[in-house]
Amino acid sequence: MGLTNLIGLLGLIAVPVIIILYMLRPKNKPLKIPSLYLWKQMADEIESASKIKKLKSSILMFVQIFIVLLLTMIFAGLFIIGENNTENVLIVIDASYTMGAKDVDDSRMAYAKKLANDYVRNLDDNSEVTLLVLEEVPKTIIRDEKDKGFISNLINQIEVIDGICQVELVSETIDTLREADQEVVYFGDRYFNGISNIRTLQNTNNYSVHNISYTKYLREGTITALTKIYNHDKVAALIPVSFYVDNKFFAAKQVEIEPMSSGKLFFENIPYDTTLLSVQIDGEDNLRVDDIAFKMVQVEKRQKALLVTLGNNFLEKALSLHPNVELYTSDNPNDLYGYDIYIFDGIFPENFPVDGNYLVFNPDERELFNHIGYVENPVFTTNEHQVTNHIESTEFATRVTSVFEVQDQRNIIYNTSYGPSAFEMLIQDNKAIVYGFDIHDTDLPLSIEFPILMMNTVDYLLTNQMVGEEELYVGDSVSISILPSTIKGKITSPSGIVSQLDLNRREYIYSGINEVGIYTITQEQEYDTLNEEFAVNIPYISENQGEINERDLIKTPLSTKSLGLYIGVLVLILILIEWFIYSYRRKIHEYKL
Amino acid sequence: MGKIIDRQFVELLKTLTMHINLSLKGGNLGSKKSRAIGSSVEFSDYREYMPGDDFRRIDWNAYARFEKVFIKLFMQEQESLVTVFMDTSESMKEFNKRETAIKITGTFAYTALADYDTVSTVLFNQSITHFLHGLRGSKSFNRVISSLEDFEFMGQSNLYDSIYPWQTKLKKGISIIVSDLMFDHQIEKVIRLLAYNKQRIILCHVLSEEELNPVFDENIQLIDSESGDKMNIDTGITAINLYKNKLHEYINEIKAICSKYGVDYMLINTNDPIEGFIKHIQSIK
Repeated sequence: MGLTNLIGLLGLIAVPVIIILYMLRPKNKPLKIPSLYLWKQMADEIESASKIKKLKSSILMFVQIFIVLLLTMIFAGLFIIGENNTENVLIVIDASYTMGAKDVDDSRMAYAKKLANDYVRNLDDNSEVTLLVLEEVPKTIIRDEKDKGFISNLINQIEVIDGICQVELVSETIDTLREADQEVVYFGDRYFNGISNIRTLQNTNNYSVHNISYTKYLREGTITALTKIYNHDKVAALIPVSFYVDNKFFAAKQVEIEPMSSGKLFFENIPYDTTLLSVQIDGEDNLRVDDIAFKMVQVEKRQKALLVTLGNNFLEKALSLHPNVELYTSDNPNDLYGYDIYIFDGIFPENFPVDGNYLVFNPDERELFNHIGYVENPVFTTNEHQVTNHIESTEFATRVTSVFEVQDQRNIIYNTSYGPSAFEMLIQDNKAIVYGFDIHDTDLPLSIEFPILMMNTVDYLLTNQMVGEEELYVGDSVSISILPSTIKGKITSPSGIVSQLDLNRREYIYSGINEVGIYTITQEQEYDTLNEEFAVNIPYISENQGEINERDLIKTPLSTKSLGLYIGVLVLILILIEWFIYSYRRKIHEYKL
Repeated sequence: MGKIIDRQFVELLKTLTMHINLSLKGGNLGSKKSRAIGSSVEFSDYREYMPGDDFRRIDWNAYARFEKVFIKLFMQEQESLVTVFMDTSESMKEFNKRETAIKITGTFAYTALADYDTVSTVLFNQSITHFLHGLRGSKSFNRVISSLEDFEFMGQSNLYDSIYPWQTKLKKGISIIVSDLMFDHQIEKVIRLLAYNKQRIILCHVLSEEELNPVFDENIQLIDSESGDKMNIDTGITAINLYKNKLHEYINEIKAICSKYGVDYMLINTNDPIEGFIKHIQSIK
């Protein structure tokens, strides 16, 4: 037996109030009568009756005190530990990064584990437990398990992650797993509708840093950075912040932030060649993991591109606009080497070079491209593809285009009713974009989409950028480009955990991002080793924090049975009894006499 | 006319033929027929002459018929002395008891005066506080009314100490006591005293509805109107029921004493209409 809401015990104040009211009840009302002659003759009898009456009055007082005590128990959430209830329970334990906060017990997670273990211990031996852990993706640890010791061991093994599980995903997972008549009990610092929530937080004394952004000023040779500091507490705070450039202290500032709001901080005159920006909150709070944020500064590296053509001013002009591309031209397609991108415009080598990616226009009918025919005056449609980003119109006239057989629909860039006309593919494990038409046969260069299309195409083919995404959070997956000549690759987490890259595909999806900090991708080539870093931060979910702030009480497990309903019924019965006695006291006395 | 015994009430008394059927011996000649054989004109019986008899009452016609001397016997008519002892203590002041007591006293006085009887009204509390003695004739009724209505009810009662000194003024007649008897009444002692003084006694026990059927909620402090004594009652209906039982015992005790001495006992609720009381008096034999 225990209480879930100690504040409810404030209701006990009503007990002395009732006693005082009884003590202060009005004095006897004076009533003048002709004579006390007869009354005095039965003074003794009245005195003894009065004593009984006082006792009855006291009983009413005790009934009222009892009612108050019961109501207090309801408000305080009195529960008993069920001894013999067999239940099918889905236990949900939140392992999100906020559970690492130390406002209660050793941490919210430690407290949640303790409560969950208590809960499991108090279940009936025949209860079946399904354990769901909320990591970036909800993970079912065990299903319909009866062995309490085993369940407790699994609970104890749960660790807080640096990420957070999205509310929608949690709700969907619970809805999927939940069986009829199954009780769902959540242990964590959030709140989910429709299930029992055992909250394991005491306060929200937390500050966090998110969203570092920067602007590079080439002319001044400086970088200006902007970061956002959040105060999740219910009181205003003066938060000290340190700013680091390439892991070296650069500046310190303080920012005063109102409760439940955020403030911006600017840092100026950062050296232009900086590669890493990081912000650290120096103030003490419950949760350290969100006190730091990182941002990689994009460093431009010029890539060498070779345009192999018999003459194409449109392409030459468009490609030379790309800031990271150093464009060369040639009319000899054979024996090429040393370029990052090879652009073949109507003329092709016997064998494609092995050290770069390819952009192909108007290919011949070799088997490599799975050419299936030609279409005159085609009408193009576009598929969702990185290359067609920001392109709204596909209306350009083409005299004729080749169409190809493409197995994977996701690789199609332009389609016609007879087959794909532009697509991505791999040639000797190198990325290639193929356009089936000759640009000279189209009015595409005259449209405003043409330079965008070419920029997107080159961006896609740039080989030295291993990671495309700029903003990465714990729990995200990252697509890593395996460079054409890579013979060995690995990814190293901030804590030093190394994962090998799968070199069988040129795009490797890495889903092991579970730490805040700087990850390093290393790709070893025959004569060189290339390293690239990317930053991973804590995701910011304002809705989540808001919910925590609304309900900042620690609740102990509801365990198996709350007594609220039973106590409520008892209170109603007592009130009815008291009302009946009070209303019919005269009749009751008459009946007794 | 007064405020209590007003013209309407007197009209009511006039319309009621009231005869208190009492046998009286002694006293002045009045309208009451005495059991004593007297010299009135109403024939009663014959008996043979005996020496010493008034020869004027010899029925000579009977002598001629029976050759024996008979004497005519006549019923002697005597006047009644009606004395009304009215309690004027504080306890008789409230709850319509004063008005009822005055009306009762007025009723007896009016009836007696109308029958050419002599009326005395004695008002008392601890002792006799006011009296009118030997009133005769209907015209005296106004004196009775004014003396009753002008008198202020106050103090505590002592019936025996009040009546005891009055016994020298009593002649054979009717004594009426109008009181709530809410005191250590020594009623048996009083009745014995009046009976000793050859009084036919009528006891009018005047109680208010509040005394007969008290109603109050819990937590009452009762205050004695005479003594100012206080008594806390916390028991509500329980105390009321105890009181009712006690009152019942008390009345039965008085009734038993009255029955023992042939006293006519009347319990009068001040809430009841006075007509009921008057009809009750008519039934007294």
